[in-house]
Amino acid sequence: MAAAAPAVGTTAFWKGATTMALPSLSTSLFVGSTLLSAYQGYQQGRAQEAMYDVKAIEVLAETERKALEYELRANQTLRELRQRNAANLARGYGGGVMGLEGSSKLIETVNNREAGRDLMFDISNTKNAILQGQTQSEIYDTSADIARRTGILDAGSKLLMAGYAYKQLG
Amino acid sequence: MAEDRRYRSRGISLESQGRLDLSNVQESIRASQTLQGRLDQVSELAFGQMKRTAIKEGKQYGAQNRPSVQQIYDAIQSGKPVDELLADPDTVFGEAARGQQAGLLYQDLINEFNINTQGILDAVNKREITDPAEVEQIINANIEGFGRVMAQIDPDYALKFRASAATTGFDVVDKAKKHIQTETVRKTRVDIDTQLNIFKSSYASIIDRSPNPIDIEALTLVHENNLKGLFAQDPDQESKHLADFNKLKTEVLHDTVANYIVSNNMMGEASKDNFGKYNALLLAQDSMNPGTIDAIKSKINTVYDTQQNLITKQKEQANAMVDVQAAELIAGNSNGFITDEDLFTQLDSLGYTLSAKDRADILSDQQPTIAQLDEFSNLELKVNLGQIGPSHLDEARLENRITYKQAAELKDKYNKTQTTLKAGNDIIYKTFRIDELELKQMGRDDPTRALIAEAQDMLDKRRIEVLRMQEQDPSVIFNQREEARAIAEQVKGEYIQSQAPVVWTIANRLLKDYPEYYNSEDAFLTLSEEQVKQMVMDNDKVSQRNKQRYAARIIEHLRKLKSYKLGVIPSEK
Repeated sequence: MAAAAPAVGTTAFWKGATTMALPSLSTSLFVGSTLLSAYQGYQQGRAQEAMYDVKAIEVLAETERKALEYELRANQTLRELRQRNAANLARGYGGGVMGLEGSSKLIETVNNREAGRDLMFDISNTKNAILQGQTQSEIYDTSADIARRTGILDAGSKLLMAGYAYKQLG
Repeated sequence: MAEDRRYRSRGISLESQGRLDLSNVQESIRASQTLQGRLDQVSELAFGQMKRTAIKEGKQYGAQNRPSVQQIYDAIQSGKPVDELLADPDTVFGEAARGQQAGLLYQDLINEFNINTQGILDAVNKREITDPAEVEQIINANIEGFGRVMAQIDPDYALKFRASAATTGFDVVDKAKKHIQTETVRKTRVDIDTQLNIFKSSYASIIDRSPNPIDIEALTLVHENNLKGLFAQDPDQESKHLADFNKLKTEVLHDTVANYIVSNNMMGEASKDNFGKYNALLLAQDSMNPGTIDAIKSKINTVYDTQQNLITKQKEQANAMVDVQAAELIAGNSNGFITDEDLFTQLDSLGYTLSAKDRADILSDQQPTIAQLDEFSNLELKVNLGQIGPSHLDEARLENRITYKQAAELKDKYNKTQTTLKAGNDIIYKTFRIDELELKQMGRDDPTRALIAEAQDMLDKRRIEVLRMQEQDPSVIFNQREEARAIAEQVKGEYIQSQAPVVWTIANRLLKDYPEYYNSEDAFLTLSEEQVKQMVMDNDKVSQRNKQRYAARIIEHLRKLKSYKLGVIPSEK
């Protein structure tokens, strides 16, 4: 039956500890600095990832703000069109002409065409802004993923190199 | 105011949404750069390791496959490229091997160069090389030759070799130059001495044969010029050599003339400035060097005195020998061994002159008086003790205190005592508390034997010294017994003084393991041998057998020390 290992912290444990071969100071420094450097590389990757995550959220928020601006401007266009057309109709009827015929009709038609163009552009702008924002956000998501993987790879390669160099010492 | 019924386009168009930030691409690039950097580092690490291994192996190869200097020489002489003997420097391995080979060859060549320079110095010391320019030429040839060989192997090492060899070479040339200069001067001085000696005898002969100033000058001209040429080769002492030369000429002239005058018994004429065949020469010399004639006259006196002293001394020595033999014959006659007639005949043949009174004393059968017999005994004792000599005996005889025959007998005894050191040697034996037989039984390494021999030698030297003194002053006496006693005491005392501390030091060391440690020599000497045997050693680790040995050694040294204190040298038997 194998002898039971001494409990951690007991006198027997520390007695055993003192007889173990202690690593030299330089070895300890080497191992410590290597581990720290690898951890630093990993942490850098994680920080980069977090930054890209934030950027992705930011760009989505900005997109929505822009889309809202376009929408408000489109509503403004519609409101103004109704006002002009109402004024045109009132003028027609007030002048004794048929408000829905003749020049009044022509003005309304022109008004509709002009406002329709402005409205369509703003609708397209809204769509474009949303598409752009979503695309940028996805790009940032991808970047975050790459940054995290790079951090892990950097830390791993540092550990491997340190292991190789340590082995060379014999 | 009427409201405008026209809608006017606000100029809205499709707006740019800005450029996309392709951060994923940048991130990918950064990732691949990081990875590439790491891979480069790994590659560098692995390559560095391989390079180091290659350099190490290359150096090993270079050290194990070093071409010898002889191989390099052979290759050069046979027109083969030296490169073939060395590693190819185009690889890391080859470069390291080549560097190692070049370094080792450099060292070999430096060693060889140093050996050669040592050989040059040896040759200079052995006078095989006597020209400093030749030394320089050989050194330069060596530097050039070795430098060219090295240049074919490694130009850097060639430069290093030339610098190092030039420094050594300069030192060697400098040393060789100084040595050659010193040697040349030394040789010149030896030549000068030799030539001066030759000139001395030749000049004396010339003066003797042709005592004419013109002839002398003509006959010595060549020799004199040669000598002056030699003097010029030693510029430091040229004036001294010239002065010595002139002094020598003067001395030879004075000696030759003085010897001539004395041997021809012309002292009288010389005192009147007549020097016979040398008149012309001396007048000429005196006119050039006033005072020459006076100096020669003084020299004549010196030579004459020396010659007379020599003659007198020879006569005295001959007379002394005759006296010794005559004393023996007269003593023999006195004891009845030789007849009067035979005595006279033998004394005549010896050339010993007897006065009429001496002859009458011998012929008379008159027996000594009681007073003379007493005086004889008294003087005999003194003669035996070395207290009186022949002059005292002559005095006693003239005062008629002893007869002529008695005086002759005592003189004979005196001569015999003086010619042997037996009495002195006996005193030496007694001082060392030993007799002749014991001495013969002694071991060869016994110190007493060596000390006695030393004392006897000193006594003999003293006797010779006194005999020399007697030549000056016949009254000096060689008191053999007193001298022997003093010498023996001195020799013994010095020996004991040197040995006693040594014995005490050893005894002191032996006593350290005993509690009854006697820390002074006097305290140790109070111990008896029995007390030493009973002392208990304060050291458990020493065996009983060794304790006994210790005690025996202490006793041995106690005996020695006690002997020394009593003035006796213990035998080493």
